Amino acid sequence: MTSITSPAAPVPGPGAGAPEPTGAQPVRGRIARLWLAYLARRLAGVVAVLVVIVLLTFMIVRWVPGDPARLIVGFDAGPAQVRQVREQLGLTQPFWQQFGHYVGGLFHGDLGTSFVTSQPVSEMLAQRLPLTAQLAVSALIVVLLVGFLLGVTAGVLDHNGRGRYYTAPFTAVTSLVGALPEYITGTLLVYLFALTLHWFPVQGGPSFTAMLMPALAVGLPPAAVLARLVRNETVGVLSQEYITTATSKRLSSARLLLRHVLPNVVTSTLTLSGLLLVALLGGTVITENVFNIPGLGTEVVQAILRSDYPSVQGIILVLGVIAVVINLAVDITLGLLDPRVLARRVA
Amino acid sequence: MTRIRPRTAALQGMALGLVTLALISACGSGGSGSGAAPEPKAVTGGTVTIDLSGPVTSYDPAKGSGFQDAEVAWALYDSLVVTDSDGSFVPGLASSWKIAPTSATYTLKSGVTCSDGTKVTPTVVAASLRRFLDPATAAPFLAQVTGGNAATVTTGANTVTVTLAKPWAGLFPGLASPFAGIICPAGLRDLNSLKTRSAGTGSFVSASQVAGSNYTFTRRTDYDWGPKYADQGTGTLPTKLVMQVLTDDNTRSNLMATSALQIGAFTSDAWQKFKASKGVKSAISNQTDTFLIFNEAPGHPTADQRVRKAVEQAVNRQGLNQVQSFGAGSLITNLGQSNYQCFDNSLGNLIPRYDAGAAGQVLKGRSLNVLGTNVFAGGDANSYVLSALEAAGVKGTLQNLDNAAYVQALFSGTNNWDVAILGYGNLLSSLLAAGGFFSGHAPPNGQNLGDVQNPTAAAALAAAGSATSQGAECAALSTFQKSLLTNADFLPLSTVPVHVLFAGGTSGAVVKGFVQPSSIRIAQK
Repeated sequence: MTSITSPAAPVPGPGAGAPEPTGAQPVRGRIARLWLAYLARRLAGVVAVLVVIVLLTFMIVRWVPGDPARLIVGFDAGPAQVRQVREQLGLTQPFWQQFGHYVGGLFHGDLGTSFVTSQPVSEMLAQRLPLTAQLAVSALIVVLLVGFLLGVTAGVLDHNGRGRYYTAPFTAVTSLVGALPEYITGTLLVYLFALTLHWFPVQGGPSFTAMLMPALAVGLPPAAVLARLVRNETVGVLSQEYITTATSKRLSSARLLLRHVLPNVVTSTLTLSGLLLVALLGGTVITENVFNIPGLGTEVVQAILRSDYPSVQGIILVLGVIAVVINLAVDITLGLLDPRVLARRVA
Repeated sequence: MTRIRPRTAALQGMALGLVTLALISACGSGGSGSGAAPEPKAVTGGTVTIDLSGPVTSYDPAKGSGFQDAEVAWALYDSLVVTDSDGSFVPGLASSWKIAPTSATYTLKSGVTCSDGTKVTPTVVAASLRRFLDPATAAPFLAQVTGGNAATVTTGANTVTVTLAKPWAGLFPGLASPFAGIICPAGLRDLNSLKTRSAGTGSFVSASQVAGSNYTFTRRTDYDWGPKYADQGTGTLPTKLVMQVLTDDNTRSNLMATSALQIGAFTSDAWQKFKASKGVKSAISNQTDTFLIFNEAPGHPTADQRVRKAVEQAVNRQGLNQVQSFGAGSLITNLGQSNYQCFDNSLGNLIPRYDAGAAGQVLKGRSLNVLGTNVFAGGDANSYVLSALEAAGVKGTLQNLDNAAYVQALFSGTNNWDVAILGYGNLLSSLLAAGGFFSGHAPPNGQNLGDVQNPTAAAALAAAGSATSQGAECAALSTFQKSLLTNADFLPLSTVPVHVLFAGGTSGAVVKGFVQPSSIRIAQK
């Protein structure tokens, strides 16, 4: 079969199974150099971002007015007790000394101890991060399944001339769902499926039934947005000349879709998915509170309100690391899928 | 291809949205949501879940200060004496006691053991008390118990005596607090372990926790020395008690409706959803006392007594009570409720009558900053005060803050408020304890929140604290409160009760809005 080429068509990367052209060695060497340069730049960026996160979170939590010691001891304690607790927490030390202790601890894997619950922050993260990650990943699955399938279907229908029946409802539904904040979606889901129909529990948790509603609450609004993007992307790809050529060669619809449309749509969707997953982690903060899920979201809200410096610092650092790693993973995957991306970014 | 015009699409979208909402409403009006009260299922397997208002600081009772710390301490530890719902004292680890101006002597019950089997002796109790009373421990509640006086603990054959260097009326009620719960030797040997593991004589033992979210305890099968509360139910103690941190009444209500929560305390009217539920019992209990306080620091409009009096006249206490607790609270005339020791009925005459006209003459054109917590009814009471002041011509601003931010605003010493609603959960039911907010140094070096400079009141409070008889203490407290009221240093508002709901066949004694864990029972079928 003659290969179809177009500016938007996917270019197979090294190891993709294509026969190597003459002079493959210099090409491979050039790609390896590109990868090295690319990874070096990205890793330097990662380190810089982490340093900024550590420094900023440490400073910001202390700039917020408030005395953690008073919050811990409550109304009844006298000034002597407050002073003692402040000393025990190390808050009477100079700012840079506190920072030094914090950074020194980080190098030993010690994120400190929560002012409020007396629990080591690393232990708190180990207890709560899995639930938050599960929620974010479940929500991402919702986003990709619903958004991608709905978008591609709408695009294909539109291209096939049946859009007049589907475009308006599609636009209406995606506009409505996409505009709903997580807490509204969550509250509606609780009201409908937990309190009225009794299908799912009010309380979110790690089981499938307890995770489904929170995942839908977090995932449905971005899924609606993604569906619209994918639809437009699909319509755009289907209008390309190489698709017309492929169609004229009487390729089956399934082959056309799977071989020539989806790979092009996937590239942009993947880029967006990385960003979405990071955004979904943020969305879990509100949803965890709606469904009372003991994840990082509920904890970070409580920690901020109670001036629990070590917990806030630990959570933001971990979320920052996750965001950076996800972005890095997406960039590497994109580079593998389409080496032109690599060349562009290094350039 | 025909394209649908955007306007048509928008209209179709709106129509679809309305249909969706109608469908949801239709679903909501069917089934159990058709106005019928929810009927939570009966408890099976012996596990009871009860709500907790916030994260627990530690399982070390001496380090506790908040409501949630108290609830956990009651479950895991026993105090020598405990307070009942009517304010009276009932035996805890002590079978009897003797109170003197500078000391309290307790005779211990026999047969009490720690969760690890260690026998509880006077030596064990004394060691725990010595550690609590040692200023180096930095127990947040210490000042309420000792009044700042040095304390010594001695033991007899079957007795323990706590003696203060000077008389302090708060000693006996202070030692009845959950924060003075007795820690067993294993806990004292390894204080660090108390952060997550209990070492007490209480009805429950710590099992596991997701700190800040839920705390699980298991029953002690040999526990038979616990306090006997007046309104204690019948049945069996739960085999497992889960304390679930819930900060929102709607979540509380939803969990209870779906049988995920059996015991919950509501400060809003969300409890009314269960009013007609056959299997849900409710108990109302006064928890917090509220007062209007003034910032009397120089430079504040409220440093002027005339302004303070006018503010008191501008606020309709009855109306405020309706807003603050949906009318469930009771108006108060002292620094506490009528069942507190030394409550003075005659002080009601000193409360200014609501007179918006007279208030307006003084307040018109003045700027006042109102501060309050959103804990009670979402902070509607704070808005009510602001509205009342604005009606009197004040140019008002409002700080309706989350409770943590509110505490910070009161105690930070930044002083950016003029009028505040002070909500105080007086665990000791003591007028003396509440008096500390009107005497001494202003924050951040003291607890005199409004920087009140009232020498007569300060002298009377000191006299009440060191009184050698109850009569002298009460007389001094009356003088103290009279002086504050006359000088318009505070305005007593009302109590804020909680509605405690028991579902699934559970019951329990409620003291100051808190369910006593050792009194929780599951009805036998």
